[in-house]
Amino acid sequence: MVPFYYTQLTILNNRSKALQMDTNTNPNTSDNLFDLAIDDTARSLLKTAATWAKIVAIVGLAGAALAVIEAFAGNRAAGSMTIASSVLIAIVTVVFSVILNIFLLRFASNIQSGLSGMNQANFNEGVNSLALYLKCMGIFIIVAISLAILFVLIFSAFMGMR
Amino acid sequence: MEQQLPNEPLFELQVDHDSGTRFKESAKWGQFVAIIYFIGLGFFLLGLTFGSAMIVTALAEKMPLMAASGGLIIGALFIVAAIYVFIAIQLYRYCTLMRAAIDRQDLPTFHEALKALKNYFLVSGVVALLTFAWSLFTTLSSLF
Repeated sequence: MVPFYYTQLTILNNRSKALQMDTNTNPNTSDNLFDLAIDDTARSLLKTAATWAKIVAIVGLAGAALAVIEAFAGNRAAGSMTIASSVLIAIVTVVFSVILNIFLLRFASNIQSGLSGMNQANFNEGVNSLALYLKCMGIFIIVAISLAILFVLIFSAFMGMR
Repeated sequence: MEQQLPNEPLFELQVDHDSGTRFKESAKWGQFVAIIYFIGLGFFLLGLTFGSAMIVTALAEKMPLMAASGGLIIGALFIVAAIYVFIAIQLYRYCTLMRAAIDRQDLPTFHEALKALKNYFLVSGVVALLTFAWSLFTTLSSLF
């Protein structure tokens, strides 16, 4: 008869072997996640990227404000329908632009504060904002393409009826 | 005697599980955006190549004073398209390299990905500044 402690030892040994095999065959285990350190090169590249991202975000927000001014103040000679449609398009564009640029600004400021203060939480928040920025951009593109296809279909149907 | 603590922290920043996942998510969406950029730019360049003669003729009819600069405008549009192609390439490079860097935990690939991200924001920043200056000029000139 096999003693109880021997069975337990065999189970533990097998588990340890399975774990070792998993670590050897799968390089994406959580242990390996800490191999990428933010060294001096990465720090310098991220700092420059964050500085330019901040410029893009600030200029984008200023551009959105300018678009609102132009939509309301400009084009006075046009008819009321033209003004209303240009204001509507400007508002939609400005809303999209403000959302995107806020995410970009959050990426830039969080990465900058994370790097200067060696704060892992701020760094992670910055990377999260970058992911959200690109995700929103992708979603807005999908929405814009869908709306364009819808308008083309409506326009062609309208032309077909005439 | 009291020993002063050094200013440098004990641990350096790392790409941990959370930031690694976010980097990969950004790469996934960025790749989609870059592919849409490529498709859009492809259509724009096709239109510009085959419609350039039409654009120059229309420009000569509508604005006779600008007729001589038609070629210049087409050239400028090709340069703008080339700049956007560069931006799209940098975004695509960031996405593919970042995915590979996180999967393989490879530091040189991670550096290359960050370099592509830096180039993407750098060129986008310069383009944004120039576009803003141009739109500010046109808005002010239309208002006053």
